[in-house]
Amino acid sequence: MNDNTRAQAGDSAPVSNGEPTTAVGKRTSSRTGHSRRRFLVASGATGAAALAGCVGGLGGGGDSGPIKIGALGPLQSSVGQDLKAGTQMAIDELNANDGILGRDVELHMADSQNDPGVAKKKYTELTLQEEVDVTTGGWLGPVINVIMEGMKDSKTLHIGDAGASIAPNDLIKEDYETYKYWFRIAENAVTSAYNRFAFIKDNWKQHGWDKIAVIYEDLGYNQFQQQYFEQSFSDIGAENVLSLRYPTDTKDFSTIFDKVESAGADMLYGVIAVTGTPAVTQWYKQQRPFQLVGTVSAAQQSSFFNNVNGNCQYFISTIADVPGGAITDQTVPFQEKFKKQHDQYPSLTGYYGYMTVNAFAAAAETAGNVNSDDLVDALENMKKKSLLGTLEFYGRDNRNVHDAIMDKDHIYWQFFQWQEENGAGVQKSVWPEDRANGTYQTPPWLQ
Amino acid sequence: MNDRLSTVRERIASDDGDGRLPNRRFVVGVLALLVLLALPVGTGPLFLLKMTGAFYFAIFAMSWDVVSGYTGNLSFGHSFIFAVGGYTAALLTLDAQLSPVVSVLVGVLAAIVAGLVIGFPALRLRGPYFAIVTFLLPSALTGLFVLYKGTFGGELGLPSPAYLLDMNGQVATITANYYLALFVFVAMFALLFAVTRSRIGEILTAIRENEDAVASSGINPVKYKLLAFELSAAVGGFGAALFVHTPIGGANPTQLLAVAVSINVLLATILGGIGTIVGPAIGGVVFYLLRDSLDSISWNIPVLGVSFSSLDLILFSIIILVVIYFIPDGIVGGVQQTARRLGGPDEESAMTDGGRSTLERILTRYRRDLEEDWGERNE
Amino acid sequence: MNALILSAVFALVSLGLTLIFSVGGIFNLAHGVNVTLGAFSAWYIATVLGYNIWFAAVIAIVVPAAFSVLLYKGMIRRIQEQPMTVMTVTLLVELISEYSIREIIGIQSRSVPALFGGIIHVAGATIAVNQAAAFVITWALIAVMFVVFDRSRLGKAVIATSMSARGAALVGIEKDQIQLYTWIAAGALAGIAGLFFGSLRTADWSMGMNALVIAFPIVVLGGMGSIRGTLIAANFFGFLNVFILSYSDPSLSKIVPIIVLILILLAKPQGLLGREVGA
Repeated sequence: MNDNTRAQAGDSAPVSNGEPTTAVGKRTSSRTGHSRRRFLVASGATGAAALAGCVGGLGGGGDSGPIKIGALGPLQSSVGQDLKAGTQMAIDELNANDGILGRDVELHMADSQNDPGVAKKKYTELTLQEEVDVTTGGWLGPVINVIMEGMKDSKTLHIGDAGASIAPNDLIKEDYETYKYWFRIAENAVTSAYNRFAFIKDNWKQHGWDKIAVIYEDLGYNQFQQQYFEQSFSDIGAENVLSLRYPTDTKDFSTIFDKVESAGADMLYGVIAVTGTPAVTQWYKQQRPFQLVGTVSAAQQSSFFNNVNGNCQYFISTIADVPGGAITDQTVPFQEKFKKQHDQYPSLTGYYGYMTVNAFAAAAETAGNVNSDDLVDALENMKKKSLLGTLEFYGRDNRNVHDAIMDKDHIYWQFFQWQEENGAGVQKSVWPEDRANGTYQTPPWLQ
Repeated sequence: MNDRLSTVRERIASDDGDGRLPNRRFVVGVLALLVLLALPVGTGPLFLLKMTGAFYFAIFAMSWDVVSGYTGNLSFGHSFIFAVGGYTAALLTLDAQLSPVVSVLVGVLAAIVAGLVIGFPALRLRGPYFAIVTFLLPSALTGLFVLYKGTFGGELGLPSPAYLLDMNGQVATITANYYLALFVFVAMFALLFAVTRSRIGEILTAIRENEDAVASSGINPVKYKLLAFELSAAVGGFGAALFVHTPIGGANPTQLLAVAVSINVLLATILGGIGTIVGPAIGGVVFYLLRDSLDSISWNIPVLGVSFSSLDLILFSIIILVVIYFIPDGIVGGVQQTARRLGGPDEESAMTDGGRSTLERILTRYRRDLEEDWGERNE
Repeated sequence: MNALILSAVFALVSLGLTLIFSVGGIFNLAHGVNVTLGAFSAWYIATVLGYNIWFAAVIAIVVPAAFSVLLYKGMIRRIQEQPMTVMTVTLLVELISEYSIREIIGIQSRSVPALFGGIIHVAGATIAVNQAAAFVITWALIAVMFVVFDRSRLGKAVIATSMSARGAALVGIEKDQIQLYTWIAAGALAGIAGLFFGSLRTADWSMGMNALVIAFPIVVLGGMGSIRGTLIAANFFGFLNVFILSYSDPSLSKIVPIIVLILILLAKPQGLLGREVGA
């Protein structure tokens, strides 16, 4: 959610009725109790409450036995499936090489079903019952909220895989000791907006995109992006001729395309990650007189071209990496191994799952243990080679604190185009130049 | 008051004309309550968390039953009520900085108003039309929340408001919230049970069977139907307003507004037995826990290669299909029937309901309604 | 233009619902499955197996029709005197079917190949030939339906049954047979609609449920049992949707139709043209 409206998780606890309270802002460094406001309603609260306090601790199972990684993702989609696959692959490789700190590594996979109620139960199960040493995944905004809520008690390290929300970063700034356990190796709303607009800035002139229309699916994650885009167009020569939010159940984009055409756009940029597939196919089949660029999550899958019978050719989209894109020497071997095991190239969370485990392992080796506080220190100081580039986290002085640094020297998303080669569809990266493995092809009807 | 209480007592005592049966039911109920009270001793906080969710879900189901089981109008969008109650309360706690107790009370009021929104159209629309309108109301509300996502959080929902009960430490908080949920569950159950077994309940049942007959006997059915809607809204809104102030719940579309919520409530109540209050109480808890436990099974079905847990909705739907065909009274009703049969051959009590299940009676009335509307129809 | 195409395809779905209701008094909540089956049968035949799209189109008609027959004969006929049970049962069938399809196909959207490729220019606008084809074919089907009800013996039998089954039986029209025909027709029409949804948009596991969410309000607004009412309502919603998208805030396109529907129902609980069947 954008940071103008609400911050999340527990920052606005109201006054209680007469009970002695402590102000919300008070920090305690005690491991177990927190100072929080109490609300006592007539209740049957009994001596079972005597169990208070012993849980939480420093998170994690202890000093011996297997090291447990708890991954949380929606298993009904490839987001969760690939997270599981990537995580497991990394774990298997570690276990083949003595594990972490000489201990075996175990995956505890939990299905979040993209439902915060379910995620709450699963997170509690992972941290309270199975006592995992680290949690990963998350993906969806409300699930991230659940994790931040739970982190207050569990103090378990979390290395997350997405969710545009910058609320966690705000929370860390507000209350470092409580929320410092949050890390994210994915983009957030801010870093992704910067990356996407950089593409527009670098490319508009050479492709003649003087008039650019932008459409946004009406979901919370892209509100920052819209603000940023709208104000950034004044920095470049291209003109933002249309800026439109459309409802998420839209399946027919003809009317919207008509509007884009009447605005005279040379290029349509679509922030259409969730709902964009019909937009792409309709654009292609109707051969609309503008280039279509944008984020469509489904288009990142290597199976997308076949799924839509090739009706996505010439569409430029975003991706963490294309198959065959050798960002580091780890990347392509990983892709090929994944393809071998799972019959298709990894999607986003496949990379993230793998990277997360390795980051955790590296931090553990540096710290010499799996104590959450020590792991936090290790991660804050980490600078290591990973699948998608150099992995380093923003520091406490940055608004994206504890998120992975996203720039051309670290991890940086690419723009690719679906092209046809020998009758099959391939994803060719066209930007940034140092990672590109293909060149832009103009759609025939635009020539 | 005395009158109503004694009516309730008489009803309980004279149910089915057999002195033995109700005592048996009471004993079972009391035993169950004792087990639930002692639950934290034998189980861990995770299970308590799940039970808390189950109780609130059962409260939703009972609230649905008041409308769908007692006015005979099946509501396909009861999540509308839950969302109004829950979101109002959450917004007040978060933005207006009110105490959760106050927020909950205001949330109930808001839900009662929402009950009018559902209630008035219900008086004019017949069964299936009412069903479709109720189905669309949550969509409209979702659309509103997305339109004003700055205030309502859109599809992401609101952040978590402070808990009603917040102890030192996670386990204590979970345990305290469990008892709160149990208490509210029992209280709502008792309230609805008392109302539906009282004279009000008799009149509602009579209206469900034949509204014109009731009207012609001098009682205004509109008044009673509205009462049912308001009661349903109050209970549902109360449950939702509390729910968002617990560790297991929050004010977001997935938990309060989604179509799945309305459908699950319907499924659970039919499973347990519609029009009984006991049905949704037990059915709600069972449905919730069963789905949750199915979720944790990591067995893979060999041929299809899909995990068993992802089939749980399909499985449940099949089970309920079977129930509808063979045990239209729902599981609770089915158990009662079996108990009745096992109770001995000398039970010669007159069946005031004509021996047919509530579900059958509701739908027969619909047939009659439709016939009135559409003229002579298929006999 | 877009509105006309959309309205027509949705009308195909809605007509099936109206027919089934008018003849049998049944609300078939499983109707969405016909749409999904139509789309995915066509997809499977044309894309996975690689056959000609026209052959796939035929399959897209046959499969949902067969499903409807099975559903009617196997489950619904027995309980058809109990509308709310039917509603619940068909709802369950819808859930079971669509979630099963999700398990089998996955959540990725698929494209169904177009019947015709290429684009044409009509009145200054550029549209895909497939869109034009959809327009022509769907409206032709609707016209055919009108003719059938007006002129043919079968059509008159349907009208007769919808008014009075007993009366119709007296002249030798068997309700059960008529019902079977309407279920087949509903399935076939929805299958064609699914085919077009799949090629004009995309096909995904929840497309049936999504289609129902729009089709039912259309039918209710038009008046259950009225073909003309259904058509009017379909076009009304289609144009309303395009209007909102073009001229006002697109975010309203979800709420406004619902509010309009509720207001109209409050004024006219039977819908616009409730009750009559046929032209």
